[in-house]
Amino acid sequence: MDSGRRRRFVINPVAAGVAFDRDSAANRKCRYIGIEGQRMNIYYVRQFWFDDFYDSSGNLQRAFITVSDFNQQNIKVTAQLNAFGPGAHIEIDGNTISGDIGYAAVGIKWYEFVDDQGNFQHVDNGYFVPHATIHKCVGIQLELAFNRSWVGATGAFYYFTD
Amino acid sequence: MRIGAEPGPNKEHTHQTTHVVYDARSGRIVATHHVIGAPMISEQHGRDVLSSAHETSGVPVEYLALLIDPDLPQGEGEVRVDHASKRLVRTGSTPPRRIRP
Repeated sequence: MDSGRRRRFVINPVAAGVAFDRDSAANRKCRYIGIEGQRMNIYYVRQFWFDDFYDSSGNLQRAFITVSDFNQQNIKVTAQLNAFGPGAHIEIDGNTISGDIGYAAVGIKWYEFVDDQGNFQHVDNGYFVPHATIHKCVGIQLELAFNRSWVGATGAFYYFTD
Repeated sequence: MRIGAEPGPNKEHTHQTTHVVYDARSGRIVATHHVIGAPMISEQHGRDVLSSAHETSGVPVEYLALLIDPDLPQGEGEVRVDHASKRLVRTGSTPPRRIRP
């Protein structure tokens, strides 16, 4: 890996959710997180899981799966919560009720790939992106974040050829 | 708190390890990292994990500790780390499961 050619950028989650012009320079980056329906020749499916996580303390807890053995294969990844049971903390002071309830989210924290020019690219997401299509994938990190809740999440990597 | 993934197409090359970052004062888990494909986890990686956990949790880095590839005890209670024995243990707190399969 040539660190001199390494570039880092952040995908705007709003921009990633809208249709785009494939020919614009800015959107050539975005095409690495595919948003259009498309046919794929899937030759391998690889599941991952965050099963049965629980926090009752009210402190945010995070779990990560980092995969770096994709060897520049094309990857479609999806992640979703499969169980969620929020806890609650409630305080009553006179006529005032305050507190918080549990929450959780899962998504792609970052991913890495080699672009058409052969440059290594690292992309940090600013949102819990639940799906992506990554050509010549090098690595992906998924994150489950949760607070005061019982939660599980799962998903899969789909290996495909163009 | 089971975490993991199936092997990739080149199964013989897959190496998986789990790092649990916790507050050594309370045993509370701050972050769990499951790493797949990295041949060896370096000391620098360990420091990066602790530094990242510090930034996101606010727990001073000197109180954060790392547990590598721990066994998960049976049961349903909340999981924490027993710092003295360097093992995961379950507390009496159970999840609010209002539904069962």
